[in-house]
Amino acid sequence: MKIFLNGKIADFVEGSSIADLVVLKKLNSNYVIVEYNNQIVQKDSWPEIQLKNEDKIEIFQLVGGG
Amino acid sequence: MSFYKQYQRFKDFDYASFFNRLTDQDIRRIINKNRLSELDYLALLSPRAEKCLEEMAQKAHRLTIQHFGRVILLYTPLYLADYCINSCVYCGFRVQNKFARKKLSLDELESEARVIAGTGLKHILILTGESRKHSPVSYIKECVEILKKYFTSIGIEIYPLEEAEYAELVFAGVDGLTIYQEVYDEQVYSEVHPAGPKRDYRFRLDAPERACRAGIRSVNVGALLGLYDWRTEAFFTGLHANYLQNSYPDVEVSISPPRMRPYPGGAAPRVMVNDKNLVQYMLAFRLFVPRGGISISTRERPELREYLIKLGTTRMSAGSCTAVGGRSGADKSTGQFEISDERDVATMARVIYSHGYQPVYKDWQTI
Amino acid sequence: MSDPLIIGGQKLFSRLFLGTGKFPNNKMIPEAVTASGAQVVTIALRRVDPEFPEENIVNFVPKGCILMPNTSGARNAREAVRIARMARAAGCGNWVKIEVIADNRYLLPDNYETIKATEELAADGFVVLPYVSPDLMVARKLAEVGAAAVMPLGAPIGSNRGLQTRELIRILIEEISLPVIVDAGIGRPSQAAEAMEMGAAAVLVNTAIATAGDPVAMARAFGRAVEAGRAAFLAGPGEVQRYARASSPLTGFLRDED
Ligand code: SF4
Repeated sequence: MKIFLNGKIADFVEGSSIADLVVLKKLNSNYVIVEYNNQIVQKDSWPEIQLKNEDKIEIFQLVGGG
Repeated sequence: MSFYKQYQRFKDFDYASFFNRLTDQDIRRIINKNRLSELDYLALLSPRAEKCLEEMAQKAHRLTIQHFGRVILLYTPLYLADYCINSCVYCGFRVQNKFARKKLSLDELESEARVIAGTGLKHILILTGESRKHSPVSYIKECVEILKKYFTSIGIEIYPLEEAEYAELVFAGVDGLTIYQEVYDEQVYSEVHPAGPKRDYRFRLDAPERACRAGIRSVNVGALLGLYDWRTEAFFTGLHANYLQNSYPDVEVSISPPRMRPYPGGAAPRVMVNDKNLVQYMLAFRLFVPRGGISISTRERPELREYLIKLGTTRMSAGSCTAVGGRSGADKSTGQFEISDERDVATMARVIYSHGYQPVYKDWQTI
Repeated sequence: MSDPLIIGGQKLFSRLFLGTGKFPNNKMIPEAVTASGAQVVTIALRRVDPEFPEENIVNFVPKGCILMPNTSGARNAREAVRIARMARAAGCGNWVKIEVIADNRYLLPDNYETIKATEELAADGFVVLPYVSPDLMVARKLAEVGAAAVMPLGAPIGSNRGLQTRELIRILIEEISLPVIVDAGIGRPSQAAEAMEMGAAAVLVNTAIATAGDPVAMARAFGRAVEAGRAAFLAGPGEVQRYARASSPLTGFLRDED
């Protein structure tokens, strides 16, 4: 299955959830914000969202800025 | 939005103790500020500030030249009708006064207009008493149609209108509104307006704002000096002008500081406002609203008017007559009040030149 | 004397807002914040690069500070709104600095898109502080659509060139009832003090502190400069006399009456 992760094509095992993705990418789940097909998803629903082919995932985090 | 809210903020303000706390140093510091707050303005209206009039005058003079140049705009009032259903105790046209009332026919208006235009003036201010029966908006419109042929700027000083009516007149060619609150103190307002539609304080207070919303180009507000404590009345007038200028930045805002004049058989002023008071008011206003216009009418004496040229004045009336049909001679009726400076337009123009200023007859044309 | 700045219902006692970008390392940030006294700290939102995960900036901001995420990276109102909502979802509170930049050469803000974003976010309950080129009509519009403050630039971002837009900022301070916070361009404490003396409500500084030889010491210097400038403003500096004294009195004709 192919999804768009932060604008780039990435391969994932069929049936992965957003929570799986975050773990797989070794991201700290406390810090990141996830947009699933242009909708912000709260952390509690990450395990419930099963990724489908061509889904768009954007993952953000807070960084220094002025 | 309404200025009434601003009025209420200062309605019960303790003016006496505010004035008492001011020091000479406070006044000097305020004069030197670039931007005055509302309370700074009030401080400059205080008895304490009287000592610093010359300093205020120097700064007011500079600011006026900076923003307006050495220029005095000349205009003249034209009374269309003296029918009035109000009872303003200070006015010769009040309903109780028995005299033969008059309203200009359109032909008479045209001959008046011709006489005035012959003096070179291009700015005219038309006035009526409050009578929707004798001087309805439709009549004002007909008059404006005629006056447009002779003048480039037409101001109205008539009873307060609804926004749509102002829009109608703006569309017809009116570009200026003069409407004095007469007295901002609500209590006194109700005392000196014992009967008639003018008793509606708020409707009058919000009139300039309705005109601004209707697209008028300039508004002129004022308190009739002599009805109540001039310092607070000057304060509210300045706040009103400032409020309008801030809320409607595309409108030119000015004030008039008219002092009560006697009218045939009329009541004496309740409060005396001397020359020094008048000057202090003009200077304080100039420092508070550097771009605000100040209009000085022929109510004032000739010598005083000349001194005031350098003290913040931007507009002066000339060749005035406060009676209906007073110029073309024919049927002159009773005046609203006595004027004091009777000099004609050409004389006024010469006098203004002699003080190093230029008299301007036209600074605006509606296109 | 207590002289708080109130924005979005919050009382602020420090008028220096501190940005957290470009510090040599994040560990300096808490020290710099403390040294400067800042209570409002800006941060940004970026896409995660899974190859190079960064530390969470929020961990370096002392507790009790107000976080103000900016919308840097947004090129139009839609993107700015999206970033603001994401930052709020990340638990940053409801403050946001709108920054919409579609010009990569000077990094000047797009005032028009900024107004649109401000309107939408203010209606959505955000405390919106838009970063703009100083323009009176734009500032009026921002006030009308619900901005909590206006943040004009003193000079292009990161240029350290000081108050190049001084006269325009002065007009905003005089005409706008919202707090005017000078953002961008302030390179030295003296420039921050100058902005405060003029009557700015606060200044936002990032580059000048983060890229100083000793960022913590510079943060302290800015904190003091801002206090000094504010104190001078409140004290009411004597005006420079630009005109010679006219020799002839204008009020000599007045006699004492009554
Ligand atoms: S002041 Fe105006 S409204 Fe009052 S009586 Fe005179 S003409 Fe009428």
